[in-house]
Amino acid sequence: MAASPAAQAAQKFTETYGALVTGGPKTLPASGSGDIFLVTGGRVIITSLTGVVTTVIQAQACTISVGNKPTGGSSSTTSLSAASASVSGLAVGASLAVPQAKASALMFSGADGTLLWNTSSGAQGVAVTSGGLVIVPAGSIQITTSATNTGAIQWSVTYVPYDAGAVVTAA
Amino acid sequence: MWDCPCGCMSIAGSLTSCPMCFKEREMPRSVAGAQPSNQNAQPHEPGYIAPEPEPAEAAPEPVEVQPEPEPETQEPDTDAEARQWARDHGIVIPDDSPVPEYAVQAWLAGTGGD
Repeated sequence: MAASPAAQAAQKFTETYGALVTGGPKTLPASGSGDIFLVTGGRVIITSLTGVVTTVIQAQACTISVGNKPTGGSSSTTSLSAASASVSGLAVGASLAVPQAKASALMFSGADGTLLWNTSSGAQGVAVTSGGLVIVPAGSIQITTSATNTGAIQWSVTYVPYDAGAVVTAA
Repeated sequence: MWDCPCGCMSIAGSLTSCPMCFKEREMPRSVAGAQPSNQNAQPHEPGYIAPEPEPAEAAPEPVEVQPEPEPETQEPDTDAEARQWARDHGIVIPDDSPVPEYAVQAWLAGTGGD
């Protein structure tokens, strides 16, 4: 039986960018870090890491950054993105993304949810790349906030196992 | 010497019939080629060979009683379990797609397949 177009598209997507994992909406951690994904079984290549606001972010200054906290080694968190600009009042539907450029700030869009590959200022926008953004060891992928804001974001990651058996699941 | 059933006694062995009643001498029956010499001999007559008893009618073969089959234990639907577990953990799997290997790996890593 031939696979449906949707199934074929999903397979093509997986072949190109890796497995897609989308967690449930997560409220923002209160002035600290919270896990959004768990990496187990070895290293994975992250090919994209994005989010979409599902509950409006409280209108008060707050930044968000993304990092990886390995279970072994130093166990210290490594930044996958620098802190974003303030997400105060970010509307439902707004997109966030870890940029490809090293040490760049977590990017986010307006309520239209569109993040360009390249912004008018020349900085890179959302990256979904088969080449990978970063390789991360087993551990957790976290977001860190600078304040205690209400609001929720649903995060997605695409990845390819680098070590056999390495997987990512939503935290 | 032989005696005739008619009562005449001590008839010479060379005579094959009774000189009084002319009844032929009863000769002992012999079995030749597994056949009686006189197939008409009655049970009370010499030479009678009792027929081989007919083999008893073959008993019906015992019917092997098959034990009641054990109710089939339902194999756990690992595919469905893996799919559900994967979805619960954020792994996106379209409804009409097979559970991808990485999702099965994640399920096994997360649950041991239980």
